[in-house]
Amino acid sequence: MTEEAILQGCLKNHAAAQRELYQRYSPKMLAVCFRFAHNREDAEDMLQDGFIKVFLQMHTFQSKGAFEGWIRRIMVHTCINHLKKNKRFNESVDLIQASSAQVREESIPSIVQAKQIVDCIRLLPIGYRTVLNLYAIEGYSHKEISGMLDIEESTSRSQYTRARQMLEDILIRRNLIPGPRERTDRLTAIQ
Amino acid sequence: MKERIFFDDEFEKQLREKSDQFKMYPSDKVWSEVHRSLHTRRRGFVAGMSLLVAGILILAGTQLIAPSHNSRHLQVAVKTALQPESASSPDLSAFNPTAFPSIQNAANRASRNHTQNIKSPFISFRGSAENASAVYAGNEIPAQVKSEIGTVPKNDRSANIVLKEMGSGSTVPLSLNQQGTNAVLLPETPDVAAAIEVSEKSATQTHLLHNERFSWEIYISPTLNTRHLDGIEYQNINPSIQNAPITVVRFADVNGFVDKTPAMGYDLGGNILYRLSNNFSLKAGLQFSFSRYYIKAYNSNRPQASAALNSYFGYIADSLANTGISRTINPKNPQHYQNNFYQLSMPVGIEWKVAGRGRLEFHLGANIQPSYLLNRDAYLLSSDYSSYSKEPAMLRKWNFNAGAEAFISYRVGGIRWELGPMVRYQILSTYKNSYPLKENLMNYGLRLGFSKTIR
Repeated sequence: MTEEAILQGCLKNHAAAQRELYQRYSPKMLAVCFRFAHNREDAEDMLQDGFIKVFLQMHTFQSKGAFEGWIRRIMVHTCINHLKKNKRFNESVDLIQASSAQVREESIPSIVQAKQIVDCIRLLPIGYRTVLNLYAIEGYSHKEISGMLDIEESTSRSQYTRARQMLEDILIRRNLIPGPRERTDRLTAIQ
Repeated sequence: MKERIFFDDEFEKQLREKSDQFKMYPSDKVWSEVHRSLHTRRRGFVAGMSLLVAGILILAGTQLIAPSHNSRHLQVAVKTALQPESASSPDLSAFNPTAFPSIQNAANRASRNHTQNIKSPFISFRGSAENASAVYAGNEIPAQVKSEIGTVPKNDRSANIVLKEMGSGSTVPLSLNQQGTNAVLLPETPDVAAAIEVSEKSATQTHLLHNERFSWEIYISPTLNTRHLDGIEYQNINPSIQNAPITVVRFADVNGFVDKTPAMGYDLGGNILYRLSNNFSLKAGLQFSFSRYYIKAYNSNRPQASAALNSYFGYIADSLANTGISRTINPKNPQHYQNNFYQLSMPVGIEWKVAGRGRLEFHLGANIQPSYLLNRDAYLLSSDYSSYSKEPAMLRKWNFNAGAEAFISYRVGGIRWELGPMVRYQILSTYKNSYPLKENLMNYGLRLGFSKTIR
């Protein structure tokens, strides 16, 4: 079934088309929700709410952009609302101020599995994680993030810097990316 | 979302790419909840139908427990026995009936026999005992009632009974003869318009005065359920998918692949009947049907169950791919599954009294039943008839059933008992048109019911 046919079916409230759409996008969207959520159950709740919104607001989708991007934005907003509702992230977002951390320019080897990266992201405090998810992965600007999370733009920036530093530390500790010393050694060897 | 300059550095780019590669598969519960939320009409329908069923049951219960519900209740009080007639009779409302138990018993008997019939023609009683008068509804007493007036001489009376209308406090005198078996409405004073004897004969006649066209019935039918299957006709499959990697059995009869042993189910419902003539009645109501059939299958390691689908939206050919839960052919691990169907129907039909008069009658009936399927967990057979799988989206929600019945009825008191065979056939396939296999359910059984006229 083509995407156009699925969308038409969803607009007519056909259960078969809705199920097809769900089966097509739910694995990816659950991964999105899982990055924001506290646990898998919360992620599934977010996914459920998100898909209900998708189907109910299907008529508002304009075929200008990619449909996946549209669904993804709905999911992300649903996740944020869910977190706000459950007051899961306020404590760490508001209280922890970023230090003047120096951001390193690391790269992630291709051998590293996606699940390993997601597992590392989920080790971050939920406030850091939320900002990192929104900025680095979902592509929102700090201004948009400040509006979504009701925080200052500068807070969003500092949270992101700190989150990124922590993530890199985790990746290094898990040997998923080389640490500074290894990198230096490698550069020396090349020279 | 405004365009941000993505991927400020390599790390962010890689982070995004890696994160996007990650996928997780949600549990079945999530889709169930989403589906339920989106199709709330079904819940509304079920609630509405439940209310209607409850209404019919309440009506039936009211009629059974208190058959004279819509008639006025009368209290029987006994006036003094052998009390001389006098224009200056004492105030009857002050009379104490407990002093005359024997007469009261007679009065009770009389009231049991006749209360319902006596009270109906009268809409009000005015004045005290001295000038009590009976006013007939429509201000005119029918001829058959008039003929009974005054047939009992006044000196035959052994007791006068006062019927007191509940709630209103107004009274009317009623007289018993010496046997206490016939109640006579008598004028206490010369200015009373009429005295009416209500004998067994007149009671029957009075019955006929009522408009008794409506009645209700409740029935239950234990049924045997089976199904008729029409296999996939290869030439009917959209040509664009005939070469698809889906195995379609071209020549074998699908009925040879499946177990068709009948299973037990039941129908339960209620109808309101409207008598068009002496022999014909229209009826409509609600019915809950539980039907099922067995599936003999075998456990397997979850094969792929594919079903070729007819054109879905427009001319887009498609197929359904799902994970099978069981196989139709396998010498090991035989399992007995069953497909259950819970349907709510609204039968509308006609009933014909073929023969009989009085207590025993013979009826034929036919109806059409718009039906709604309440559950969505039936198994679906794959195109190669090898596997079963659950696919709720393929089940048809709305359907039509046709029903036929023949029954004898026997009247006991005010209730007519009915017993006879019935058959119910599902006109449209259980599955949607896009699924090429056609399945029509058939139930046959014995219908036991009872009906009562609404007065």
